[in-house]
Amino acid sequence: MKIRTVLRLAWQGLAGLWRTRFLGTAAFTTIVLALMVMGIFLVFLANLSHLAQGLEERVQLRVFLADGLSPEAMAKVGEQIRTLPEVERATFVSRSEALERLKRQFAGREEVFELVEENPLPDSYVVQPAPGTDWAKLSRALEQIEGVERATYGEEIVRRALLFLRMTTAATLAAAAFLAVAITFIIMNVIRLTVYARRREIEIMRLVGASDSYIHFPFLCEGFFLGFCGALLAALGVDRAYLWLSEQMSRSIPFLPLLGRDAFWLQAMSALIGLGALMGVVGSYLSVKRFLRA
Amino acid sequence: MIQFHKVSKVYPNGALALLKVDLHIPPVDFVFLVGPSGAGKSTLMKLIIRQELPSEGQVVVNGKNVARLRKSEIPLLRRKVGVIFQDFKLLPDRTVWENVAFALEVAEVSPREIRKRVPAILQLVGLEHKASALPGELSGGEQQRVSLARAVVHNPLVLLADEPTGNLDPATSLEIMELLERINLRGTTVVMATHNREIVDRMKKRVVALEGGRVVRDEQKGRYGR
Repeated sequence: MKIRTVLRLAWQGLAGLWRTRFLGTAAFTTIVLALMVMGIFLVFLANLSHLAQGLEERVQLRVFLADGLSPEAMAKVGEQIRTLPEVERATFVSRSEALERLKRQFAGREEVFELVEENPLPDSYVVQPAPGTDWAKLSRALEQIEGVERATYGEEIVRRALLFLRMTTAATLAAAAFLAVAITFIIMNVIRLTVYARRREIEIMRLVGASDSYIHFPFLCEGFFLGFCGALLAALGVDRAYLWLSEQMSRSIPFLPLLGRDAFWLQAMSALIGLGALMGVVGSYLSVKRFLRA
Repeated sequence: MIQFHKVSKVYPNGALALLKVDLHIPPVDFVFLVGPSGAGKSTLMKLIIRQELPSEGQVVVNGKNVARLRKSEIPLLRRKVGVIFQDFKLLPDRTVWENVAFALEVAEVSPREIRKRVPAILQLVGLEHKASALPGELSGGEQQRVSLARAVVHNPLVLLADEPTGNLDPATSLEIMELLERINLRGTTVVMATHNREIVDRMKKRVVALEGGRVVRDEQKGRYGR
């Protein structure tokens, strides 16, 4: 298609929007709101993934050593631990240090320790695994080292927390996909209105030899404008809402910080606008295709 | 130019429109299709511009089996075959000039070429003075002339006319027939479906009569009835 034709047809697409502006406004508002919900989902997903990543990074393995090891033997175990490729860092924690830490955690209730005559805690290493490590596998490998009694990473809690995060992510993705289909349908129906308004013109276009792409193009532009502008407005709305929510959360639940707007914002909002535009184009394509086939 | 080889057409609802039609229309022929409503005249035309596909047999236009055309080739076929209708099918919100130019615009003809061709074709149909009028401001005959101008602005090989005089008075109908004859003399094959006995008898052209989807008569310099 020549550039001149493309521009003319794009202009016709805009004119089509203007022609159906009254019915279109209601539909457009719905599109903006639905895209806002979609934007919130996107942001929520990004935060979930951030949370999961944070959790994974924070997982440390505790390697408890067998009783009665000499300092040399303990140091040797440490060396062996550090040679494993999945280990990023391993720090020795002596049994007395461990008891001190425990006492600090129980500050104010030291009487608990009066019941204990002897320090029951073993010497241990705190192991920081490399990102993406299979903790269960690493823990088994660590337990193979001579002098290691047990290696643990709070399996059950970590497993449950990650499962919860994954399920929430999957549910959000499913809801977002459902929403995307719904938005595409709304756009299909808006375009159907303009297709209907121009049905005579389309009939004549086909009779005088217009190609399908020539007939499609103004409607594709119209769908694109709807989706793009809707998503742009929705992005602005989500931006304001997120700013407000971040402030509220940093005040009331400071230990659960939301991602900063700069970290992923551009990506999330571009994704939202891109998705909006794509849904617009797909919706209008399906609408016109259905009409041309009929 | 146009060949039908044992063409049958049955619509999805089971209605039989054409049955084993054999027809050959050479270039620059002028053919009247006559017959009662539902005889298959319009279906025959729809098959020529591939608005419908035959259920059986072959329709060949300008050497090409239209059923085998790729999707992208259909618009090219339709630029070679102009069509006019009883109800004119004009765009009411566009001027005469714009209605005619529309056929060239969709074919992406350059604006310069459009500015050259539209006045020439309006002159051919005698409407150069009405170029900026809207269809609603024209008489039926004038509207049909606009429709005719739009159909032939591509210089088509074939012009299909589906009851073009159906909505016109006898005098205006004759004017349209004169135009069709002139277009035919310029080298365009004309196929016209009509119920207008007077015109068919007067023009003394080839007459193909259809009944129940079959060709029951095909005669040169024929008449409307036997």
